[in-house]
Amino acid sequence: MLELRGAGFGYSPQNWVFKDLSFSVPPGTVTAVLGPNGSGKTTLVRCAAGMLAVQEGAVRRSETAGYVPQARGSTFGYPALDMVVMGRARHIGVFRSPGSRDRAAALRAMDRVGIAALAGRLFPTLSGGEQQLVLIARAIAGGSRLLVLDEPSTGLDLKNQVRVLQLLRELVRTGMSLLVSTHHPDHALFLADSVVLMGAAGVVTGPAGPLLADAQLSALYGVRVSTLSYDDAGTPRRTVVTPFGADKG
Amino acid sequence: MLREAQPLTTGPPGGRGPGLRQVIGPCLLSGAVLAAVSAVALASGRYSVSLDHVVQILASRIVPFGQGLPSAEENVVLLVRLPRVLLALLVGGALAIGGAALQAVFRNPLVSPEVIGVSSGASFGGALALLLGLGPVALVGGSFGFGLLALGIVFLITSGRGGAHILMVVLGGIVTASFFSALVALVTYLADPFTTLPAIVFWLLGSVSTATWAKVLVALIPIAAGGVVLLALRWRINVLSLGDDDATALGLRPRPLRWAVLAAVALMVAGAVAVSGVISWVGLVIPHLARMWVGPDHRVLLPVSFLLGGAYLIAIDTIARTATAGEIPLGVLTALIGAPVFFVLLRRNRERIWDGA
Amino acid sequence: MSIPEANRRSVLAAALYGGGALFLASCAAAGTAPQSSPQSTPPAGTAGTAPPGSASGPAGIQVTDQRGTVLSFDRPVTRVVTIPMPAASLLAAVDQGASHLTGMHNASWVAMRDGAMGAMYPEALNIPHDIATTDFTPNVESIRALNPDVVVQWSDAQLTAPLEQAGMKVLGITNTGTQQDVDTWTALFATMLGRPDRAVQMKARSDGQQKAIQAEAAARGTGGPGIVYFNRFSGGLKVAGNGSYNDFYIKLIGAHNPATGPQGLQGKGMVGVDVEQVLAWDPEIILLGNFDDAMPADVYANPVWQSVSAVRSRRVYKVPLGGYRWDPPGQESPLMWRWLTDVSFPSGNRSTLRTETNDYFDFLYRYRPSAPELDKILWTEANGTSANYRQFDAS
Repeated sequence: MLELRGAGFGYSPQNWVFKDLSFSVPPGTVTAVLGPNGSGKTTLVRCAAGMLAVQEGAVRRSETAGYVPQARGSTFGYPALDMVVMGRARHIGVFRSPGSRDRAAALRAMDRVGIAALAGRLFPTLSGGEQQLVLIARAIAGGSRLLVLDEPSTGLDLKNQVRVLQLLRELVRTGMSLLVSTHHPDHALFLADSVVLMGAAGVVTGPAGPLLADAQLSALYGVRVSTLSYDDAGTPRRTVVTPFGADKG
Repeated sequence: MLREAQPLTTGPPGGRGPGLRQVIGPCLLSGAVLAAVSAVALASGRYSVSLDHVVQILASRIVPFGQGLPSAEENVVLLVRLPRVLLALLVGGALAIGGAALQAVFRNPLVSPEVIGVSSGASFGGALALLLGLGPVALVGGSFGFGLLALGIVFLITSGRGGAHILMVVLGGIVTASFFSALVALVTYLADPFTTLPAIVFWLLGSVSTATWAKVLVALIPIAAGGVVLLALRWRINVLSLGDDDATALGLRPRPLRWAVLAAVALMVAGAVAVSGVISWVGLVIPHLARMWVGPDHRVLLPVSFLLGGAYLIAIDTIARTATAGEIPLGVLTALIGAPVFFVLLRRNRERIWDGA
Repeated sequence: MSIPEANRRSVLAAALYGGGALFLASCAAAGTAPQSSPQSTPPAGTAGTAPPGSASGPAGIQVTDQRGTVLSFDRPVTRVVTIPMPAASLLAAVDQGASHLTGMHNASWVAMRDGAMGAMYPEALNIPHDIATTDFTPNVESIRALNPDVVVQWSDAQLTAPLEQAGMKVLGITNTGTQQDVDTWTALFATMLGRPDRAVQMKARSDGQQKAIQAEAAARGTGGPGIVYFNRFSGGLKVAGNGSYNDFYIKLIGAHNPATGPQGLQGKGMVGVDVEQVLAWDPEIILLGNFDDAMPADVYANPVWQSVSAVRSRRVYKVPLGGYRWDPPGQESPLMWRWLTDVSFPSGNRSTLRTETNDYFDFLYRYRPSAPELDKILWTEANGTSANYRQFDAS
């Protein structure tokens, strides 16, 4: 469970990234943070995870959050299992190394995420999607029921996007709380119960349904955005589209 | 952003997570290499002592026997060769393990104690003590203090937002090393050319030829202290090597941890330079060779680096003192041998080295 | 408007006349100075030796330095600046005084201060000595300010060119580490100073000594002890190898140098060695040079050296330090040969070294060292615990 009350963060008194922001992420729900580049999504998400300290207000967490950064490759070639074991760092004493219990927890996390087969593979040799999944498993291995993810699907191909999103939904079903920042409004449509829209005019929070609408999204991104309903073999779905301009030829 | 990346090394074949066996195995093997090299070193020298005499003399330290051996031979083995081998072991090991730890902390495989400025700082401290004629205690203390100071300066330069970027590290290290090199040049300028200057030049070239048991003890303290800290933190160094962001995300406080590692490395490197002068290339080449063999996991890499570094320096020193009647300065040999080896390494691994920088 | 202009004009005029007057006055002063110097030649302490007549003759003095450059002087030089380390004390020896020494290298000054010359010529310690860097690069302006007649400098073009470009005469000398150097430099200095026969005297005396020593060696016939000379001992060992002056005099007196023998070094000059190599050579005599502060006691106390022949028979000696170090070639080398002969082949009788040193110093410097000064020169205290050193004691 995560709660922000009147939280504010800025790099200088004139330059507030966000101010007086309140919202909560109850267990079993997902809150998505949306906004254009430079709006401060990553800053908000890092404040929520406890990696940055808010300058106003308070951030309350029921437990330490598991933070999942964007997968960026790695200078050193650690095996995937070792990467996941590193998620246990909070439970391992300063001068100690991981024990069998930690390895078991890591393997369980990898199993849950569905990547147990990758345990022996070297992290830099994995695809982008696989790397992101490893990082999610790492956060889970730490044992936290609260996950904060920073743009987990950026740079992933379609298949990997689906993989990650389906995993997140499953995790939520087991009762975890998720705070996810994303560039993709349709991912938010799929996943989120609540949204935080960080626009130029200020931050708007609320339930996902009403806020993920044409007017709000267009205002947020500064470009014409439409939400479309369509029929997928009998199942009604909604997606978000942006017309790029006149079609070619 | 996300890309199909080549790893820095191929790591252990099969790539399984290291259990105890994967740590013990390489350590034992490295230890065996070290023991073999040491044995050869103790049996070699310009003053010929037959192999069985060497064995007897060494054994007599543990079990009293072999009284009838000429004291000259005893002197050579116990007072000349043994301290020298031990000193080379400590110095080579310290530089190698320090290099490996620094490469992790700065996430840069091109880092070595010299790049970071610790060696330059320590060499200035020693040169200054020689210039002022302050004696051997000040030599060790001065090297040590200035080595730490150099590291502090580099860290100040690289601290703060975005400062830990690899380029900043290299630049910070170059700046600090250049500063202290300039000070060393000033010291050599001021030194009496017939009495003090040759002592300073000898010191700067690096050597373990003046090894005594006293020096071994003096080196042992900071090197053991720093080594213990590094080995205790070996898994945390793995986490630290992911970067500050990931380390914070995982619940670590990277800055104090990094300080601890750097202080430990500075202790070891300064202690090494204090007794042997500046010996370069060991801290850069040995961690790479070790990483090519055992992978980047520092639980294995750190102890193996130490053992291989010690073996390497013992081997080079043995060549230095037996190849010709005159003695070749150690720092010269390590550079002459280390640079081509590193060149070959770079060529073989260039795709891997530049990834992730 | 008129008043400021008049002021300015008058200031300019005053400056012009004043400057002109100063200029003329200084020309006159400069013009008279050289004339007065030959009359003021006799330095303090000399017993009125008349300067040779040919020096101030119209033909002048011509010297060819070791680069082949010819220098001409109208009259004997009286203001000499020396940069090479041994040149200052050699000049004092040739000149039998330090009054013509106008400037010297800091290292020479330190050697004077710490050696016997500081006692012999206390006024020499006031001579400017900040005139060059440790690598002999001259500080042209400070040398120029001393207004020298000639500057003695190593023959390297980089070191001489700045001085010549500033209009000064440079006597270039080269260092081959042999006895030749001393003879050549002595001749050059003596000619410059207008006392060419002084060089002849010094060479004759030195040659005579050398022949005497060689005759003694030949008469002895048998091979002598193995002697190793340590240029550096404390921070890493350096021994005298092939072509070094130390090697020369070890052989001169009839001993041998293991460092240049069959198991010896390849290198020339001073070579770094490992202690095991010295143990393998097992010298019978060890000489400690004056370039670091190692003393015989340090060697005796060091457990590693216990088995060396020289240590077992207590034959470790610190080389004497007279007006200059006795290690490299110099004007006092004949005394070094005597010292080394007596140390290597002790006859059991009292050595003649003390009397010889007194006489030679008198000949060189017009100074007879006192007994305590001789003890300091011979390192009597430091060498006291070594064998056969009582022969050098004062009677």
